Amino acid sequence: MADFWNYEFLRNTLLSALILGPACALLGVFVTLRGMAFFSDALAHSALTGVALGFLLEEWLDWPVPTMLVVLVFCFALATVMAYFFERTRLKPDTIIAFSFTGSVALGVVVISALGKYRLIDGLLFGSIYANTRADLILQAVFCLGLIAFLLLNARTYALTILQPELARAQGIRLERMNYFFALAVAATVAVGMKMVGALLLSALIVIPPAAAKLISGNFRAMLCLAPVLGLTAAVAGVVGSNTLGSPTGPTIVLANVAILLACILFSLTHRPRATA
Amino acid sequence: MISFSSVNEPAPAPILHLRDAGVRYGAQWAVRHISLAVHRGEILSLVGPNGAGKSTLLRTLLGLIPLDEGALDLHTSHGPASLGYVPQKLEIDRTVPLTVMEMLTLNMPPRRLWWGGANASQRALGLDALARLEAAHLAARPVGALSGGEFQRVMIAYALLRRPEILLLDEPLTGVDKLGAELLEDLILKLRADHHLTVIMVSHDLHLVSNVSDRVLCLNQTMCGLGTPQEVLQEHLLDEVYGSRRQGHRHSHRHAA
Repeated sequence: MADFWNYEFLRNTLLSALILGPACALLGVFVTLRGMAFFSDALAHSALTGVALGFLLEEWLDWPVPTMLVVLVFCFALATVMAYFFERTRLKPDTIIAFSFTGSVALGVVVISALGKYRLIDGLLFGSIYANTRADLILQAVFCLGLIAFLLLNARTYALTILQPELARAQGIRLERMNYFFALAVAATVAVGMKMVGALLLSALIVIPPAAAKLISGNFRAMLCLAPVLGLTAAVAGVVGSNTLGSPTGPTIVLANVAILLACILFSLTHRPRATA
Repeated sequence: MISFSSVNEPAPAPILHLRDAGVRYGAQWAVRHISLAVHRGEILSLVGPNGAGKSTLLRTLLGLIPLDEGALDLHTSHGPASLGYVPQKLEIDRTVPLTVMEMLTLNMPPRRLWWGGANASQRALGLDALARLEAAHLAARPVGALSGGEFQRVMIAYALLRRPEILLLDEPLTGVDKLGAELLEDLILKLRADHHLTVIMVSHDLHLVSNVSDRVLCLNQTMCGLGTPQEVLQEHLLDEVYGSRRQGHRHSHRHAA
């Protein structure tokens, strides 16, 4: 553990895990309860295409383009397009999500390959958390604080949409606007969190900790508190574990999440959560 | 349209007034030419076949759907009338770890900040609301584990937390057994007696409608009958509202006999 404080890149890696782990998990509480796990996975995968388009824009404009911004815009645009298809076509949501994200990933790989940046795909797919700079950490910290504040200030709205959207509307909540903000929050989390575990595995940070928390929570508050704790634990365990074992960090973080989930499954099968009012 | 209301009784100001109201989806009118005055403490039921526009009208009263023609006034002597709403069903995943008490806190002040759980004052308020519906024992139960009748009581407690002046019920007997139906009948009448609550209810259950309603509005995209249950729930009127298939069915029964 002393190495983490002696080497800046290791310190930054651990700090990134401490920042992103709990924030992604808190977002994941609402993503999973709203049945949007596959949707968030699709956005995470499509971030690859956002990066590819960022590279393309840089070539065209001959000017440095902030990749994260392009990823954010692309992910949000894709979310909006998928929402449009949900409402206007007879295709089921899982079908729309499946062709959207496979199509966008394929496009991303083709563009990256055409630009001759194929060697970067590994980092984009599986993360490059060791490449975090101080500026990255500041951006992650500011974003995550904003995300946590947004979720906690609007927890009631999103809980009502989980319960019964009409109740939310009847209480004067503008549901369509709040749904767009939520999609934007997911897209932004993808853009900021991609460096940690990559496009392929990012949804694991969003989905697995709240799934584990749900299994052992007797009420909503417990799930809301437990999910970030489990997310933080898995992220830190993954970083420390990968440094110890010499394994890729992103996948190790995901495996730590899976281990926690399996432990929670085992616990839930042998214990009944006690519901408290 | 047949109306049986007396024209000689003095009429206090209605709490709800619809004037020639109409709602359409695209080019198709869902309901049209609805004129109705509901007074405080009245229980009004909306009946009619599927697609008659009952739920559309209810959702219009809630403000979820705008009127395409006509006007709607919701007023008491001290300002706009407040509404409570009990939807037909919840869309919740039954495995969500949301307790009944936590659900009630969603409709308690302060409205903005909510993070699950309940503090002491919220717990007291919630238990009081549930106790009035003989449902205090459900406070710690996950919402997804409630039976149909239990769910109805919790939803009514939820709607009453803000002390509404008008309570809107959408198919309150969905998933409710006979005992639950009887309890609901008693409950609606008690709410009116204790709180002078105005109740507007959509229901297919003509037994419930007949037992609790002061007036019944028959709808089939427009008003087909308005009056007391005895006046309106007559076979020939219901045949007219529900259409000729009911007559054909009765005709075939006679021949079989």
